[in-house]
Amino acid sequence: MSIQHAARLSGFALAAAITAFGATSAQALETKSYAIEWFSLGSYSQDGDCIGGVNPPTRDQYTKSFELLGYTPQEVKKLMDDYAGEDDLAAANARNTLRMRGRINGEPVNAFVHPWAVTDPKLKGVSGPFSFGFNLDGKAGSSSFVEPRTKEKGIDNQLFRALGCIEQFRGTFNFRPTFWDFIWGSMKETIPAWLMTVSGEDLDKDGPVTITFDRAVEQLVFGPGGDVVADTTYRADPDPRSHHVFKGEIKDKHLVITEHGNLQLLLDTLSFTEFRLSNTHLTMAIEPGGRLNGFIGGYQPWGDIYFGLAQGGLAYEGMIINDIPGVYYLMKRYADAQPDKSGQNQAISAAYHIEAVPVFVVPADQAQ
Amino acid sequence: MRLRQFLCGSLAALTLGLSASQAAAPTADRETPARRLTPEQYTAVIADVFGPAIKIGGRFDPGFRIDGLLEVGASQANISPSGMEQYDVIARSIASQIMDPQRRELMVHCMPKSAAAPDDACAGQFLSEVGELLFRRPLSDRELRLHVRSARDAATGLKDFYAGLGLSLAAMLTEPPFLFRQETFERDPERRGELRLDAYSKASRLSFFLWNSGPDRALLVAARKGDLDTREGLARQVERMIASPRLESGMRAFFADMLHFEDLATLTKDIAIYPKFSAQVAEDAREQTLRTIIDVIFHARGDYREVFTAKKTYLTRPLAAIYQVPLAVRIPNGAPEKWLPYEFAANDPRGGILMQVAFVTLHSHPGRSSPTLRGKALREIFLCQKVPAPPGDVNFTIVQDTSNPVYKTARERLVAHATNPVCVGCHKITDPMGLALENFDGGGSYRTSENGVPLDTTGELDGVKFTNGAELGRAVHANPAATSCLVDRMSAYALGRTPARSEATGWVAPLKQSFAEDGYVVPELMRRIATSPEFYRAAPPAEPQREASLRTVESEGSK
Repeated sequence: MSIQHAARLSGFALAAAITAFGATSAQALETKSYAIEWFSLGSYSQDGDCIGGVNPPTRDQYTKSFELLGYTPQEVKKLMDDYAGEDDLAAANARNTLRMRGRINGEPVNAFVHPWAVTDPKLKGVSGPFSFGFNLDGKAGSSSFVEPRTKEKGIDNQLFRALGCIEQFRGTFNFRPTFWDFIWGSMKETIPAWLMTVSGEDLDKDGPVTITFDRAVEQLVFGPGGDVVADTTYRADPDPRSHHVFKGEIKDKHLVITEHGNLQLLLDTLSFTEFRLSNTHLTMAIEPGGRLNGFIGGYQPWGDIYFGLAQGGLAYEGMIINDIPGVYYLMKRYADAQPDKSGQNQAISAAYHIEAVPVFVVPADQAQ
Repeated sequence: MRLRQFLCGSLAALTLGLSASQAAAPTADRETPARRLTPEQYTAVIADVFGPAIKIGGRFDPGFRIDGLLEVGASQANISPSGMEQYDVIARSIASQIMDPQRRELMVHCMPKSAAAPDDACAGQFLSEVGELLFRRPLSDRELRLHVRSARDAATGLKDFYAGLGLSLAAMLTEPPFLFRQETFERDPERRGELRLDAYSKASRLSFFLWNSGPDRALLVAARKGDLDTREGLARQVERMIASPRLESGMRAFFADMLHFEDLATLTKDIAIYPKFSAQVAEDAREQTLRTIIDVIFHARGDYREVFTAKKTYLTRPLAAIYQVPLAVRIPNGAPEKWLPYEFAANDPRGGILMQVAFVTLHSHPGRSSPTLRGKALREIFLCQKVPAPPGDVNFTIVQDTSNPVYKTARERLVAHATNPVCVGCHKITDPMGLALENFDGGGSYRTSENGVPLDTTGELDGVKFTNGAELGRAVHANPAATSCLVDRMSAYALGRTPARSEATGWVAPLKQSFAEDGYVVPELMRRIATSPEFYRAAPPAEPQREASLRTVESEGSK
């Protein structure tokens, strides 16, 4: 047993509380905790997986959008020139025109708030066969992917299908998508850390475990190199909305959830307000040194995702998402679960690549 | 621009004028080399005189270490041209804060007749009051006249009493009597033909030793009344100062100096290898060790030797992460880290300051540990033994190659390196202790193996064998050189010089004996030093100074 594990289990006044925290029985359990340091859509982008190439850049989408609204080519050109020009007033007017390109009863409305008031630009989705993720519905239908590493069929990750032909969402396991580098990079320093606690009789062996998710009171702590500092202590937020317990197991150096319930983690009120999954799946490799690296997935309300992107408005659209109302239509099209009365699916299968570092987690009320 | 030229010209003239006058107006028989105030002493004096709210920006010239102590080197330190510029900038900043309209009525205890005109009486009162605290003695009439005149000239030119007064104050803060601890001797009436410090120099030496700051008003009054020249009067003041919580500042300053902690401010690590180590961690590490020491020797009035074995310490979250222990701290995000007491379990291999982050990281390389540096530091810092410097032509290739497929641990690399007969002698002196600390990597984290090979942390110190760092701590605890060294260091620190041979035998050796009789209680040692006449005497003039209190360690291999 390493000193780290020894310290987690004995000799410190908080050890008992830590051990009991998140555990389901009174028996002595080994407990390890983690802070999630990386979070991104589980993308597996390959050459040729978007027929005819990726979706057009923002300027082309704007042109197309205003042509659909009946603007002449000269008017569209002036709008685009003003938007990119140095005349502040003209640029502000152009931005407002772009922002208000939705139409309800012929009146301009904010396209990000009312994406359905914009004509579907018919962005393309991923048509390639591979994606990371989980077989959430137990089926291997025509809309499912093949897991690139295990070759498991029936992988449900329609969120990757919807977003994977937008340049900034493209990536692989080791090549992080630009969008997530940006958005997670922005959020991770300001949102409370997400915590995982694993409890079991012997976490070095295969066997059943309990996996607990919590939101921390503290934000992530970074070292001078920008990496999350391992072995930092975090307090678990007592807010029950972010406390979720799953049954799971360790098998072949992998941590997995075996009973798939709901997960909710509160996020940043200024961007994604919460992260909600149903039918939650998780598989993470336990790496030498104790880090976790893998995927979490399930069905996610796509409205959460859309409005998280839409709040970035024109700034996001100009920098990282080429057509936000177009993303609305993509997710609406590929959503694959929880149909409403009209038959429109309200949730979309998704898988996220997460990495976690070992930390200590203590109940908030035990802090001094 | 004209205003700035005026101010610069006035300040320079005043400073130079007073520097010269200082040398021309000795009031006693003999002077000794002056000691430059350390940055901490400068800060402490300003805080004492004007309050802790006064901000001190700027950089000070680096210190100069002699015989293991900056305080000894301070008597050899001068001020570089850029250092003088910095003193000037800092002085102006301090003066402008004190003369700020929001603050000056609290600082200047008199009202000028007009805020737009000079007032010699009010200026004289202020400069006399603060001057005594800054110069650690009353200003001479000439000094006071010069400063009042300077304040008058500036106030006239600037049509601002407080601006003029601030200029004169800034000048005072750049003058030798403030920046240097100048000591003056007088004939010792009790020892024919010998010299002792005059009363104000006694007050200053005593105050900087016990509090690491200048004398307070009570001590200056005692000096003026002659109390410090009597055993009873001196004992009363020492008693008062030992009982003060400010003694902790003095102890901290001594141990920070003895442990070379100024080097932590510039300590860097390879963040690819030690991602947890940061400037904040280095600062916290310094504070952790000082808190540990102070807890043992000051708060508990305990045995000094316990610092080598103490399980109780203090941690912040960044330090706890390096120690890989939980620390539940209730602080808001973004707030400064909070210190909490922490006690390593009895079965935890860690304890004592030798295994704390400060020691193991300071005496390591940026990307690897160093049993040699750690062993050398232990011998030189805690045992006052001098380890010879390596020859200039040593090939360190094997030692530095931490990815060597054959020599996977530092012990293996050092054994291979030490096959060179030139190297083996010194490494026998240092490595057996340093290797016991190999459980701590260069970033301070605990480990049990290196490159997959379990670590062998056995070693030996002066015939005492041990198997790990904890046992090394106990070996140092039991080694008479550790307590002897502390007395050597503290006596040198107090004097500002290495004691002469006759002082070492006639004063320091009895101090060592009484330190043992007192149970190695450091405040008692400080009391004995502060009340001993030798502390206030001039160095024997005819006797050459001892090279150092260090004795060079020799092993069989080095002979």
